[in-house]
Amino acid sequence: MANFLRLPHPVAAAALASLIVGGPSIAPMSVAFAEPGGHRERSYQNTTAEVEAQSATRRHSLESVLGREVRTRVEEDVGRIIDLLADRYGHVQAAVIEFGGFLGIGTRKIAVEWSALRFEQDGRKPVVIVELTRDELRVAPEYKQSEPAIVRRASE
Amino acid sequence: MAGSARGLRPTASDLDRTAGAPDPGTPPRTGQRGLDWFNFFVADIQTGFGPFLSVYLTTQKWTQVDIGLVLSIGSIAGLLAQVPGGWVVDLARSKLRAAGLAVIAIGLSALLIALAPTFVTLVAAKLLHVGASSVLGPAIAAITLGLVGHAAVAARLGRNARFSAIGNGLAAAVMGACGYFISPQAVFLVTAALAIPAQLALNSIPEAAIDPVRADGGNGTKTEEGRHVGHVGISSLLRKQGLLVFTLCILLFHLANAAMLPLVGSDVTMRSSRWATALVAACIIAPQLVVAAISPKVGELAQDWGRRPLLLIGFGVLPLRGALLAWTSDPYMIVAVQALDGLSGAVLGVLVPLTLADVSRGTGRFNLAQGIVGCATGVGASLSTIGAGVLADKLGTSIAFAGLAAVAVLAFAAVALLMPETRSVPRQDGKV
Repeated sequence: MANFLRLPHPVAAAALASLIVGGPSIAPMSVAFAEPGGHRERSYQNTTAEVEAQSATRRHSLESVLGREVRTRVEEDVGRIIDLLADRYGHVQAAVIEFGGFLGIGTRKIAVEWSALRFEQDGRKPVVIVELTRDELRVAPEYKQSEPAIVRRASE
Repeated sequence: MAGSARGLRPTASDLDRTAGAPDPGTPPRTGQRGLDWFNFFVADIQTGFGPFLSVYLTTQKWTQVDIGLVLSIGSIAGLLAQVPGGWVVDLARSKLRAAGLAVIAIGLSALLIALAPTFVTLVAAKLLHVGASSVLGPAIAAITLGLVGHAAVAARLGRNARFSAIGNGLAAAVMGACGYFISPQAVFLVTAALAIPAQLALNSIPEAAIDPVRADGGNGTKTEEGRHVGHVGISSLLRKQGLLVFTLCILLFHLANAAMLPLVGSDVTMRSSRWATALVAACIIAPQLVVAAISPKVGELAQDWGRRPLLLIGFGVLPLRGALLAWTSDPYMIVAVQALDGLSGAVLGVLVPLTLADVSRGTGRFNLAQGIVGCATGVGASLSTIGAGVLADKLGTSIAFAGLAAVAVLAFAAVALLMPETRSVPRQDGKV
């Protein structure tokens, strides 16, 4: 079809509901992660406001996660992280990966166990490695926002 | 490609001459060539705005909720803009200028998306894009009709469809590679840059070559007092035989058709391991090659046989495609079946503006009619993706394809039983 590029995205249906139900939402946000149970070590010797302010914040080499490219062990680009799933304690349990496709057509969303992801460096570029093969990913059950997530575990 | 296009329709240029002889403003060759390139570049600049936009926004760290919200705002605004867009083109004195402004707006929209991807700018860019597109679509058909007149418009629409299919296919390949190897942002910068050659192509069509009355379907004749046939009321346009039936047929067509490609895409992604991306690309590009190859012939045949036989072929292929997709699971077979989409694509690409030109002839509301059908297209396509998505989730992809095939049967039946032949007078000697 000549006008295939104007097709509404499948997300549109879900978003239509949020358009009606939800209020205005806040634009692009990035999600960064600290190590679990971040340490706030207080120094009791120095009680000046400056030191206190310093100790309440920390410098980390943290990387934002959303939109990050995902590879398998054999260096294939398989998709991007598009969402994170947390349990009721706020611990991230899985990442939603948008897998495959061309020009946005034919992508599949797959929830992958958080511990199946490795955050590594390729030179200076941070990369996310998923401990699954391409074939394991492509047949993983599709993640649907409206249903309980079925999470693909690492292959071992 | 320019040479082959000319060789393929020797009769059309004859037609131009015979039809143009008693008429002022015989279409000059440059106008024809300019329109070819304009169709080509407009197809290019529309490529990035599809599903690719959500890929780009993902890389810009947008959340799924925001992406969905922007896309929904865009598609709802797009539906609402169609009818006013067509109405504006009817009123515009210069169709070329209307098209030119629309191209500038689309270029600007792409630039906004590339350089400032925040929520507010994206909503603005999307509104700008859908507004401009609702003008651009009808304006191209209006320029075509104004350039060659009703007698030669079938062949010329075939040529339009060829050039926009070449643009679509090439842009999908180039932009896909660009997004993959350079960056998703680059796709929108390239889009903005391509607005320049689109504008140049448009500028090469002389304003004098476009008869503004003919371009609105005011059929170029004058009343006895020498006044142009003006714009009729909207209600008398709607009463024109065939318009509402045709709108229904087109709605049903897109209800059956629109979800097929996305479903095929995710099916191929799931079933094929090594070549999935290339196969999905083939599913997109193969139909465009078919459209490029056959649409001039479709235009020619629509004039020789009439519109109904071609509509029946184009609508008849769709249930077959749905049934074959429901039945097959081999990725290579799926690509072959997708090529059938090119057949319906060529028929729709030529026959939609052609039928509307027929039906609206003498009303001066050709572009409003296009807006009405454009709105039906959007409604059909949106409901298609929603409905097929639910079916695929609950019952599986095969059932979803079968459901789409059933709707396609309904669309075919609507054409077969309800749609009248709209070609006004059988062609005898090149004149209508």
